[in-house]
Amino acid sequence: MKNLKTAVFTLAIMTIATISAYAQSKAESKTEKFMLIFRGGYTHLQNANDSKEAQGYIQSWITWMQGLGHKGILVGGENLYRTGKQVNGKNKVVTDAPFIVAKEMVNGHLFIIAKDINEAVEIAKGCPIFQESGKVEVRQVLKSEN
Amino acid sequence: MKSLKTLVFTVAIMTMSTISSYAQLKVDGKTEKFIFLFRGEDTHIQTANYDLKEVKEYIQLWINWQQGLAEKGILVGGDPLQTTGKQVTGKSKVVTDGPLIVAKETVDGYLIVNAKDLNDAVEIAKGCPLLTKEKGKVEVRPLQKQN
Repeated sequence: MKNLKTAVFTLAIMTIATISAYAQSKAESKTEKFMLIFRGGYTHLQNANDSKEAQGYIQSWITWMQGLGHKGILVGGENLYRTGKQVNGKNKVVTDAPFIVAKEMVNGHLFIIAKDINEAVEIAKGCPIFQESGKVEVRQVLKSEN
Repeated sequence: MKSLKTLVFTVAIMTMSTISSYAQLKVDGKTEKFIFLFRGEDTHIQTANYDLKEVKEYIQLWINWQQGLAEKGILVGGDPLQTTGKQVTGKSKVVTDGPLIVAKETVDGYLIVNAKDLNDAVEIAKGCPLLTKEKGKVEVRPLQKQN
């Protein structure tokens, strides 16, 4: 679990380090906040083994997030456990996971800052999840100004 | 757009006001963080018609619900998402326009709350105004802990 701790710790540090940069960019109104939603991939932090491949893959995530942190464009993020529940409709029917087709399941998210959707997409292309045929959904967070 | 501003402002304020209580709960080790992913929303605050009484009332329900969570000290944060976006897929990194997935499965927004366990989080989710609608769904997922 050492790598997991490192990853979470890295994320926390990078987030703190970028808060000032983010606040500054926001004041200039030149950037937008985007949510990257991760789906697919098969090496999840929760069940990753100690194989060289798995550890190398996790390291590539850490390196990628550190890179975003250094550029001052990482706002935050979290990994999700692969379990959960879903509450549905007016009758509030509670169903167990998997709620949706497994490959469409959300595994985690990051918040980044970018000039526009195209820049956010370019940033997303650096994500290691593509080594494992994953998908990254890129969505702009709704602003309060408009 | 007054309601939208109010809503976003409410989230921001409530988030700030709960940071201290959250920190305290976390130290006690009695709660975990959960994310609520909202799907199946047909009144999105980006496109909603604010002149309609039903829409105003519905948005007010959301504000009331979030304020209630904040007063209990269990609201950590959240954001609505714009209805548009892109998806980058697989090793060839193919970029596709929204709708990214079948429209009814699009994530419309999220909230992060503190709860004792998954069942407690589900009970909290049942109060969500989205569930006054037949197609509304709230996915409840525990966030990965450090230890």
